[in-house]
Formats: sequence, C-alpha cells, structure tokens
Amino acid sequence: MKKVTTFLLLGIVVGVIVGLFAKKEQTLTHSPKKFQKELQASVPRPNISLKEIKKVVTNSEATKEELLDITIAGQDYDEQDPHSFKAIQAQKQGAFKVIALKRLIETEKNIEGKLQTLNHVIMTAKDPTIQRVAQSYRESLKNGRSFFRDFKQAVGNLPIPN
Amino acid sequence: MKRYIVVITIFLSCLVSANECIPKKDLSEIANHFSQFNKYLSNKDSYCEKDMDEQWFKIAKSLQLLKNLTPNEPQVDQQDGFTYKAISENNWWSYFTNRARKFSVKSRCQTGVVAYVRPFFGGGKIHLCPFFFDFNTSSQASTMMHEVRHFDGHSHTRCTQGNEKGNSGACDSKITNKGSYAISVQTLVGMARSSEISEAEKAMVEAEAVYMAFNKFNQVPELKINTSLLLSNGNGEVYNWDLEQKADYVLTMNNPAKVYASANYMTIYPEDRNLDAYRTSGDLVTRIEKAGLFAETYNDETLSERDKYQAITYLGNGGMLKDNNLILICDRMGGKLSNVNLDDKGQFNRIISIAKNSSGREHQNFLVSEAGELLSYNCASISSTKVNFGQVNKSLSSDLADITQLLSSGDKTYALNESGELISVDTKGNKISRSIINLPIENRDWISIAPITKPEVF
Repeated sequence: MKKVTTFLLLGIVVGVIVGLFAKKEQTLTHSPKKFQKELQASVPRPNISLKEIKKVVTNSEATKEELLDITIAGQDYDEQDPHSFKAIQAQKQGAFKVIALKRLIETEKNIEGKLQTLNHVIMTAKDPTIQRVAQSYRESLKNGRSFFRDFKQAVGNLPIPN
Repeated sequence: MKRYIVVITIFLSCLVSANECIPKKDLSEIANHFSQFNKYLSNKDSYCEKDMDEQWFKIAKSLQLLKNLTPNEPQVDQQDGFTYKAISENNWWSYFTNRARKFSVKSRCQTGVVAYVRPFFGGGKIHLCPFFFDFNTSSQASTMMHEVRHFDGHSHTRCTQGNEKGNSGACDSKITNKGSYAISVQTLVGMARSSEISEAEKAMVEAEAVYMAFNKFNQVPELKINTSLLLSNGNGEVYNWDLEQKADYVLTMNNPAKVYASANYMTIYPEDRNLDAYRTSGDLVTRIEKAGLFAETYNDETLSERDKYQAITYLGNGGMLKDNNLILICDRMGGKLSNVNLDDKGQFNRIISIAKNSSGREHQNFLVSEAGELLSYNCASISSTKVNFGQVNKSLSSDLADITQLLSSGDKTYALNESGELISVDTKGNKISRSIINLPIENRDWISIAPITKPEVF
C-alpha cells in the first residue's frame, strides 16, 4: 500500500512538472505560419509607457507577439532637455525595445525568419531609432555576422580621447 | 534559457550591485582622487550604505564601477578565445580623474535635470541633481562620464534625425567626433564588456549603448567589417595586407615568429624554440600577462618536446598537433585540454582551416597527412573533452602536398606553400585550383598568416 501511494505521488509530481514544461513550451513557441500572419496584421501603437515595456521585456515568458508589439511601438517621449530625467527614462525605454528586438529575432530559428521579422520592424516601427537599429542588425545578419558582438567590438576599437 | 534568466534578473542585479559594500582598497583609491571621500575612511575593511551618507555612497559606487572598468590585470580569454570573456581595455578611470575634481550634491535643480557641469569655469566640479540618485549604478557612471566630456569643450547640437528630431542640444554630430554621447556609448560598451557587472546588467547596458548610438548622432553610425591578413616572415617582419592592393608594414619582431590571431589578441610562437610563446594585444607590442592555455602548455614543455609540435591553429575548434597527438580545448566550461592520439587514424603533420560559410567567421579544421589526406575533427560538446572525427578524405591529396598553412578570410581562402609564397585557393567540389597572389610587397619567405577581422564604426 505504501509503495502504491509513493508511486502515485511520484506520478503526480512528474505530471505537474511535465505540465509546467508543456505550458511553457506553449507560450514560448509558435507556429511560424501563425506568427507570420500576426506579423503582417500587427499595427504599431503610437506610444507605450516605460512601465508597460518593462513588464513585457522582463517577463521570461513573453510571447513573440508581445515582443513585437513593444519593439514597433512609438516612444513616450516629449522632453527637450538632453540631460533631464525624462530623457534618460526615454533612453531606458529605447534600450528595452532593443532587448525586445534582440529577443524577438533570437526566437526565430532560421535566417529567413529573422530577416522577415527585421524587415517588418524596419517598415512598421514607429520609433525611427529602432528602424535604424533593425537595418544595421539586418545587414549584419545578411553577412553572417553577430550585430551586437560587432557593435561592441567596433565601439571598443574607438580610441579614448586624450 | 540563459537569456530569460538574464532578462528576469536585470533589475534584481541592479539592486544587488547597488547595495554591495565597497572594499577599503576601492574607497581609498577613490578618495585619492576625490578628497570629499576622505571623511568616510576609517579602520573598516569595507564601507556599506550605513557607513556613508546615502547619496555619497551611491556616488562612490558609480566611481567604483568606473575605476574597475580598467582591470590592472586584463582578464583575457584564458582558453585562447574559445571561451569569450571580454574585457575593457581602455583606461576610463584615468580619463575621468584627469577631468573631474569634485562633486556637488544639489538639493534642487532646474526641472528634470539629472546632472550638469560648467564646462569652462567649472573647476572639474560635477553637479548631481536629486534625479541622479534615482538611477542605477551603471546609468550614474555613464552620466558622469558624459558630463566630464563637456569639460573638454564638447557641446551638443540640434537633432536632425532619430526619435528626437528637432530637439535642440540633444544630439552630437557623429560618433567619431568623440563628443559626450560618444563617450557615453563607449562607457556603456566598456561596462557591457567588463567582468565587473552581472550578465543581466551587461544585457541592459549593451542595449542602452545600441539605442544611444543610433539615436543620438545626426550621422547614423555604420558598422564596417575590415578584413585583412597578417603576414610574418623569416626576418621577423610583419605586414598587414588588406586583401587587395595595400600591404602596411606593421613592425619587425626581435625574433621571427609565427603569429596567430585569437579573439582580440595575437599569440606569438618564436621560431627559436628556446623562447616562450607569448600573447599581445592587437598592436603586437602590448604584452598580455596570460598567454592562453595553448601557449602555456607549449611553454611548459622542454625544448625537445617543443620540437615535436607540428602545427597550431586558433581557428575553428582550434588545435595543436604534437607528435601525432591532437590537443585542443573542447571543454570550454572547465577549460580542460583534450589530448587524442591519432595513430589509429593515420600520421598527420598539419592542420588546415576552411571557412564554413561566406562570412569566413566559422572554420572547419582538418588534420592533413604527409600525403595530403584530410581528416576533419570537431568537439562533441562544449562541456566535455570528447572529440569527433570524420572520414579520411584522399581526394585532395595531390593539391595539398606542399601546403603548410591554409585558412579563410572573408569569402576567400589563402594558403602558404613550402616556398613561403602566399597563394589563393579555390575549392570547387573535389578539386582545388590555386594561384600565386600578386602582393604589393615581395611574396616570399612567409612563415605564418593570420586572418584579422576588425569591426569599425564610422
């Protein structure tokens, strides 16, 4: 009897773990066809708050659709002073969009999918800076290079001013 | 999975690093440059938030980050570039301390302002507004670097592109002008490549650097990949050939040596085997303390054992061929060497590396026998020492007989023959066609070639 109970309990635990993983798979993977349809139908929002961006970008289970939504949204920025609190917040907001873009592209398994998604971002992103990042990212990918690694190395190669 | 962990912990890590105490050594060095911190120094080994005023603790934390962006001992990729452990090579701390003298903590500032300096009569004083203290350490450090650049007379201009198009004084003209935003981007990249902050923070500062670079310059930065070949000859002379019409003389080494490129470094094996192998930065002059596992293994050998080394490559999975034993670093996590005897597969005396794709970034390595037979090898995984081998291929035997080194750069393949001539190699199916390259310098007596890839922003 004790053995049966142990076996049943073990079965339940395994079942829960498998279920959790299955749920995670469901949220993180998508049918490429379905995503392509959604990609074409996606409409960029004129602006989006930093709070909302943070919520999605820091969520490990954010879907591709959510990441795309963040990436192509406009900037919630109306500040003139470059040294202001709002300007730095806007910079953070842009940085989170870059992370969203990077995550979005990394979820694509093949180069065609990556390029297609980048093309879409270039054409639809409300934030012109994100469009430019996506253009440079696309060029790197076409040349079989890692955009982020090359960017860091290139900036690292700039001399420090005397 | 790692990516998600990084994302989740972005904010947590900021909080953790912001609350860690500052070792006495760091605070003392900060106080050496900024006497305002002297009053906090005592007999303690470390200083926590409770030991200092809250705002001054935060300033000290960002200074600590800036200071440590320049490791005294660069933490090079100890596994010869097969593991990536980038460093910040630039001396940001001296740049900063040569300009900043003191800090002024303001209780109020003009609406929304975070920090400011008075460039011409400011006496090196950085004014920090209440908002400054609401940001995390990396943003504070980047802001301070940005501000000190204004002491050099750099001001901003109106944005003509990007998300802030039309805003006056919110952009710089171009990144190569080295203005305040260029310094901010460089500092952020320095942090993203530093071992001083967590992976999560690195992801954030990397993204900040990218967004700022593409938002804050009226001339949008472009990435260009410059590829070239470094040629060393029997006289110790080194030339950098741009793969076209230009070959720049780089330097003459004291001792002729084979030069290998690995990650951002050069590993140099003198022809005189009494001399140790060593590593330099890309300039071939600045010595790096750690020579890497391959060179250290070689250096540990006696002279008679060193003579048994037949070939070394830092491309692809890398590899050293010694007395028909293949030595390589497959276990990148543990940094352990694999050592496989090849007697049951044949007798090999060279290693060649052929690009897997047109970018020339990834190489497939082959062992080559005296007769020109090829045997491919790969690491089974990055966490074990197991090596997988392909089938012996005899089809290219006659074409490879006199080749001593072969590798790809970009979409082209180059080789050295036994006469020390640089030749161009074209592999089509099972046939190799080859032609001697018409270099702008004399094409003879080369002992090594190394592909150089240098991303540049302009």
